[in-house]
Amino acid sequence: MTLLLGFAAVNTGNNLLYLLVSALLGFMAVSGVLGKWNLSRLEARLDPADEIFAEHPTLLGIRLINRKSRLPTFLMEAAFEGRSVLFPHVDPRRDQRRNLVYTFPRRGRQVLPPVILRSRFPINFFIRHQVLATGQSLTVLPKPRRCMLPDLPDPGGRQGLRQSWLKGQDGDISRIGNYQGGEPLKHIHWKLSARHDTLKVKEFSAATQPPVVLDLAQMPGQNLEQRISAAVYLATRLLKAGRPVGLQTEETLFPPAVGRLHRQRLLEALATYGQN
Amino acid sequence: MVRIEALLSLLAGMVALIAIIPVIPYLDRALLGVALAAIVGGLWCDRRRRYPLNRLAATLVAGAGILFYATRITTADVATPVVHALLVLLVVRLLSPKQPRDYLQIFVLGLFVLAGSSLLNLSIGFVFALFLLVFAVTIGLVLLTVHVTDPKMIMSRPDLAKLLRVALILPVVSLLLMIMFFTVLPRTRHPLWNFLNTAGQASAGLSEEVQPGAFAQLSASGQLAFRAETETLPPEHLYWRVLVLNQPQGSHWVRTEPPAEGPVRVEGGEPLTLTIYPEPRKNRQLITLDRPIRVSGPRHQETPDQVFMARRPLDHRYSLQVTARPDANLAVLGDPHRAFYLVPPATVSQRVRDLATQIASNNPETNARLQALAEFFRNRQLVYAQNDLPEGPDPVDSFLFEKRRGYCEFFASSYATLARLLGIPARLVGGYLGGDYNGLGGYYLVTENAAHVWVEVLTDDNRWRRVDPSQWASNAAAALGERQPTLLTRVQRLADTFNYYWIQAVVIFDFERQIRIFTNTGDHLRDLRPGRISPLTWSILGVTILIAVLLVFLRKRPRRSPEARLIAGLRRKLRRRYNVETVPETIGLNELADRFDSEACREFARIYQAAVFRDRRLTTEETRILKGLLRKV
Repeated sequence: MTLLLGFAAVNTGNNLLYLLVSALLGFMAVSGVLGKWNLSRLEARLDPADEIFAEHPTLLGIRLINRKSRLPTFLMEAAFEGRSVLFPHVDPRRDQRRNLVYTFPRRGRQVLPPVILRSRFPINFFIRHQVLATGQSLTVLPKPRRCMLPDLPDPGGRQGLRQSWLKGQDGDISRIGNYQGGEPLKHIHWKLSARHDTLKVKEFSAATQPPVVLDLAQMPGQNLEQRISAAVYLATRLLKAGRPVGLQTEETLFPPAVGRLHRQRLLEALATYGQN
Repeated sequence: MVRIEALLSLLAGMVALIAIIPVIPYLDRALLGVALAAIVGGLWCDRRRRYPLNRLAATLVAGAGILFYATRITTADVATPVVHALLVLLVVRLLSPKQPRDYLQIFVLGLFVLAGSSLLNLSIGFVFALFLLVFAVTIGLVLLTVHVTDPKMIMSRPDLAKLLRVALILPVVSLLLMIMFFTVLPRTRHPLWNFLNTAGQASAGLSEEVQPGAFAQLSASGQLAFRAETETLPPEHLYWRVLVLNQPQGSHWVRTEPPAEGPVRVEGGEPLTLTIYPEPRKNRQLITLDRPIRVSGPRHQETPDQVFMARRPLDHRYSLQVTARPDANLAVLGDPHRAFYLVPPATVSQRVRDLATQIASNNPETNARLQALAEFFRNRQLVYAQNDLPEGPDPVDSFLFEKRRGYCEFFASSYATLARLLGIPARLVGGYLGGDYNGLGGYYLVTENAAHVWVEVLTDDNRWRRVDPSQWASNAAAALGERQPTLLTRVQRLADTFNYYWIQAVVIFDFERQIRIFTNTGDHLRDLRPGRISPLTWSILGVTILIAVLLVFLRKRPRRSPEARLIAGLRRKLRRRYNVETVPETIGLNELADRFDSEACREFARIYQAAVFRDRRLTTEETRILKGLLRKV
């Protein structure tokens, strides 16, 4: 349009047309600059969930940070591996988070792909974009593969030879302790308490199962990936049931234990197995 | 909450309205009515989401409209039918379902209609319409982008305000850049499609004949004839020369091709240069200030009697630079062809002939005859008048001996007739007398009312001398002064100044002016030495530096919150009030109040902390109280 009017202006020598063409040229220039500003001084951070399993859809947060001191950013679309979310506007010196559902295809330690920011603002004639490498990495846990729980031996379990590691409600009395304030009244040892200044409570051990060491080589599955997936399934399942779980790989033995950190160590070992 | 699509609909209507306003005088009444109804109807249709035209009907109506107006295009007028066709398209778009591309089409059509208006009319109204349209279209395009990104988007008012604040950068900066682009865009010396520019604006201009007695009453228009940019000049110098009438034809005076007189020279008087901006007119004579020495402007040809004929019609706007000596005579160095300027009118009455014979016998010398003639005019107690005028076959006789009233044509033709009968070569000069000086713009404004005719006589030493017999009217001072409209009110003067600058800066800006700007800028840059920089350059330079510094300052120092500003204000106040060098940042408000033992400071701390420690911002009322306390400290 500008070209057409420019052509008409030159050929008619009509200064009013020149004025109109000049305004349109000015508009093109300033819309270009505004579009560039809109994309400038932006940062993108990915906020992944704590545990991500391969091939399982997960919510991935994208945080858009506008580092500009005055100008808000408008209509910014953040795309991550073909999926995108829209940030209608982010104020200057503020950030905003939007989530998208994403499925990581593979297990292992991986550097996250870049976020592509694109925007039509201010005018829908062009889409400007920039690729922002976040430099973030995360460990994608192997996909758990359901398998049958093995028939686990419990030597001496039935004879009461094995000591439970955990406190519980329904095991044997493991010791007498001081009342901490939260114990049920039925656990108070009234007789002992009468002899002391403080209330005494009976502490029970948990009814527990014996520790298990998962031998990766023995896991069910036709290949390594399937065996790893089975190990992940078993480890999470057994740990959830409160059973100490260890892991035996070719190089390393993780002795059986319980707890969140231990679980994380086992799953990370399985996630990165064979990749280093 | 605001629906973006509703805003777009409103802007589309606004764009259509703004585009139509400048072309209203040129539109068919019927189409104008339809267009205005379509603007209102379009808004209603968008609200209801029901449209009288579906896609197919819209295409058919648009096609038919274009076809209809295409048949009306002629070589004499291309622009009007094209504008009508564009308007049909606009109407169709307003009354049919709207996709994003349809909104875009409405914006583009609006701009095209405005572009079309520039081929019909060059008034300053264009620039207002352009401003409004640039605002409406750019904001519309931004909203359209939001709409395309998310068609169902609804924005809160604060969010919309933020968007509009940034979007406003577009029209404001576009219009600033427009000024720059307008100056530098390439121009051609001879546009090929000049015929597209409609010439309907040109006024008739000065009559090319002097016909005393043709009308019983003179009806002159107050239409603007030209503006002349110069300093103020004495009234007796304000003779604006246009054409020379050299031959009587019955009782009329007409112009025939003057004989070649050989070289001429303008003698006496101080030269002065001025720029004249004439209104478009149909005749080809250029307007100059008597006596012109040099004229530059449209291509023209100069005749020996100092008439400047343009080679092309002057039905467009232009400017011309005239160098003149207002007080000078024109010396003919070759043969002045006295016989050519001695032919008297065929219809001279016996009374006039007798009068000429009597003066001639009493005064053998030319100068004495001229003096006697002047004496005669003065003694006749002739009245300068524009009504109850002499009529009939011999208006000169009637003017001199019966009615003794008339306007400049009667005075001039009578004088020239008598001069020729006395054997003194004479010719009539048509032009304008006087003008109203506009001090704001620094120019004379001359209207068609000021049209005037005077006489030039050739003295024995071959010099053409200006004689204005109208000045001998008994009421000359009052009558000739009255003809000049003492320029109206201040507001009208101001409005005319705007119009003048509009014409000067935009309408007549051409290739030559562009080149002049570039050359001047280049020269200025070359000569740029501190001692030789003009005050104007200094001020432009100063403003630019100031803006740059301000920008850097604003960029470097982010705006502090109102709370932080208040605290800084308190510390500054304490420093001054108690004459201490610094108030350490580490000292809290309560401690400051204790150390300086200031009640106002204590109260300040109480209000401030009540807000800030509860993690909320200060209210307007609190800010007002705190500012009051600051003054008390």
